[in-house]
Amino acid sequence: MAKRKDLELATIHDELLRAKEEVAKMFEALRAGQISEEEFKRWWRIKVAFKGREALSELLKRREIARGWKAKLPS
Amino acid sequence: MESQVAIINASVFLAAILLDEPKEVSEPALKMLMDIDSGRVEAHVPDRFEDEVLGGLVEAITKGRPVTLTALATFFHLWDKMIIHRREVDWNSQEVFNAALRWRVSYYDAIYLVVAQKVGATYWTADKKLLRFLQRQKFVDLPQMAWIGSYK
Repeated sequence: MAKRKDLELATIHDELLRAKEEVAKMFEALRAGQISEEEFKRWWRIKVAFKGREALSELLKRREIARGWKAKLPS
Repeated sequence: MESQVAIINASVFLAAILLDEPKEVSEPALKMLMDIDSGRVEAHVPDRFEDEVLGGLVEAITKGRPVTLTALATFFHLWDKMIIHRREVDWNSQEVFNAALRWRVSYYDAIYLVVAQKVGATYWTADKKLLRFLQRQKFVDLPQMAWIGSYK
């Protein structure tokens, strides 16, 4: 069980390293003008962005509550 | 070329990486991140920014949202380009506590506002309600603030 977990974590670690390389490469290509802003945005939408289902509005509601404003936490 | 100095909070990063946010917010938020990478924007953040963003990503993963490792890698990439302001080094809890009471905002809001005030930066956020509230109060010692949807 512990071995399997170690293996999973090692895989995530390797994948994260690969992802970091990809991100650095894409930003570098944008800065160098090797890809257009549109190409970069297309990559961003496919590889970076994800559907968060109101994650931002939930965060803002939590902020309102912390200010003592009358916001309700999502259930 | 002179870079502009900005403080961003977690809502700006989230607005850029969430597919379901309206384009009027997500596009300027992404532009801000691109400008941080290129150096057109000198981004300052309090150390709490890391907790906020990574905490948000952990929460999203736990809730079963399809968070990619590329999103996490993007955070680390940009984090390395930001100037981090640390508690009890660059800001202290007493001044933030006082500021939160004076400006009638949360302790969290006050951390960002105090750092922005010290650095002389514009505080960028996706939080329209906070901006409207602070603009109505007309405190003379507040830093410049702006809604991320207006970033160009």
